Amino acid sequence: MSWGGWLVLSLSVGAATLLFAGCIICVLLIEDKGSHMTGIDLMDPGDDEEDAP
Amino acid sequence: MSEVLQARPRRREYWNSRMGVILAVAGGAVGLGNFVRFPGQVAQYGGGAFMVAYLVAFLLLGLPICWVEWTMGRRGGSFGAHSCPSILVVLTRCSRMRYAGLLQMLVPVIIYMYYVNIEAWCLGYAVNFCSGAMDFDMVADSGAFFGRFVGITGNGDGFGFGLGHVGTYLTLCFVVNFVLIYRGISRGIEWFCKYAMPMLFLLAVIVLVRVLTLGTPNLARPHDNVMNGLGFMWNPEKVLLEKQVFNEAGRAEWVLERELIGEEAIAEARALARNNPVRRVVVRDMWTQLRNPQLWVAAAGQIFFSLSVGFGLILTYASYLKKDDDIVLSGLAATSANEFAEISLGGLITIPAAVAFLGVAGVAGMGTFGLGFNVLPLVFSQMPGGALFGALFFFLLFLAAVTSSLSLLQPGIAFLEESMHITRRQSVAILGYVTAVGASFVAYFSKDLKALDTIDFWVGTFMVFVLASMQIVVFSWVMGIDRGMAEMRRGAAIGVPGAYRFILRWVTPLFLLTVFGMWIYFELLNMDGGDVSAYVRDIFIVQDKVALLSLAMLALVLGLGLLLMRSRAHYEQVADRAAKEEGRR
Repeated sequence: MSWGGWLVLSLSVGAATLLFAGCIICVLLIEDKGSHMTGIDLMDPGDDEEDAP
Repeated sequence: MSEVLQARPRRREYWNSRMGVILAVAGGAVGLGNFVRFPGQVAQYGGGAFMVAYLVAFLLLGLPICWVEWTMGRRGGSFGAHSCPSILVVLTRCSRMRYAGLLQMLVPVIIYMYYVNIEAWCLGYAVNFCSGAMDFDMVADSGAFFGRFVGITGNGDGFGFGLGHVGTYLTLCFVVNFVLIYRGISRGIEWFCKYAMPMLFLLAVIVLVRVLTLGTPNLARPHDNVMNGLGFMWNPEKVLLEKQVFNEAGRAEWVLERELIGEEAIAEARALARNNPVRRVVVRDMWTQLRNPQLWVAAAGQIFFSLSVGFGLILTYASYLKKDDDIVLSGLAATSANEFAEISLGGLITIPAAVAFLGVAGVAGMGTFGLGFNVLPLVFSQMPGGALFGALFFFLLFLAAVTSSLSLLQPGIAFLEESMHITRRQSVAILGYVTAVGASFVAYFSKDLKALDTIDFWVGTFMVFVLASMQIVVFSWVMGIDRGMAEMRRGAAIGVPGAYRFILRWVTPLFLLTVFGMWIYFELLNMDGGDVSAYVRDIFIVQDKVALLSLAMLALVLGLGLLLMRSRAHYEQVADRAAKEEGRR
């Protein structure tokens, strides 16, 4: 494997891994602060039409 | 929240958590392409050069269209629209866009019909590794197993119900997919993806560690080792041994004999070329390779299909967000999860493992199925502990396929629920019946995988290009870039770089249309020399019966969609009410 190959591999794998890790950490931090998305009720009250498995 | 579409209150479904929707969208994107197609493409086009084009395509094509789909989906959902026809009518306020929406909905449903077959192959291979049936000495053996398993020798040959046939696994996959879809967005799709995606990453890391510690498995063939496998995949320059031949016109020309990896192999080839005037060693650096337009088409195509943009999956999933939920960070996170699976896991597993056992010559030129279902099973069967690692690898592909299948089914479910005002149970039953017929058609017409190949090309490639182009035009030019960007930024946890206003308006549409044009030029019409593509020839010249039957089946599904779609008056009313609601906001 050439030094160029190592460079491409390191940059590509490093960038993809860091981006993924960074995004997941950000998402977890935001959710920890109590995002309004967490714990939303699944249904509007008063609707009993749909099936429930 | 307004209910533009629904006259009576219906249960509204939402994602239960930000991480859940991210994993579901990432699950829709991560699939066989990450672990098999991507490594093959990078190796074919020379790692460094391909990755430059890949990065450009990611920033200018993949990421922007992902954000566009998230934005359009969430906006449609804020009006109570979850099906593609309704979302497009709401966004454009034009009732005729229901037809484009119908196509947008049908594409994933039709893709599911053949994709579930591939999912069944993955499950079948995992089970067969566990049962000890996967013991091969050469690639012809694993190829013969694949042929028997899917019935490649004749139509209906693979349609059996035993461990070595696809029927049992196809049935199991259908049951798993539809049970999860029946449970709904949060309790089905989100619940499954929250467990399946981390497990998929864990399994991939285990297989990766095994592959990277293989070293040189056969000391009699020292060139075949993991380092040369990594070099074959990632080296930015290609060293090629070429030989001189005479073409039909009697002119001498140089053709590729083989790619050279490793200093010893290159030194041997140079010595051979010095003494042989019809051989030469050529070095193609990264910049030379970047001048090849087909490399750009391949890189853009990989980004495009890997991220599942243009399929309408993200559009549907995002419609279950609340109107102020973040989509910029969520979109970036889902995209990055896909890239991590593709580059950091898929990019280090498949080719190095294959080269370590078969050498560069055994891997070069293999297509996705050849690499995934012929080469890799042989590699795992020869590896110490191969039964375990083979089973783990194919089970991780199965998990990736299930999460993708769920995302392919949801647009159809949303369409049926909205169009027919039926419960999820009924919509699951109808979609299950339609897709079972389609999947059985693909499984039955298995000779040379003609039905699968035809539908994949015309629906899974051609139509996806068309629909992604439509999406970006609707976002940037019909909705308007200012309104679109404002909508995208609402509730965003991170900022969108200002340059994306220009990129989304000009660069992405032009880039996409250029790539689509080049794809038609090189792949469809083969205008750079040679015959038109086999897919065009099958339909317009040879009139292959299975290819024509496949198109007839697609026409039937389209007809069914048109019959089930609600009336023009309904969509005109939806467009009017969306316009009024827009004014009130």
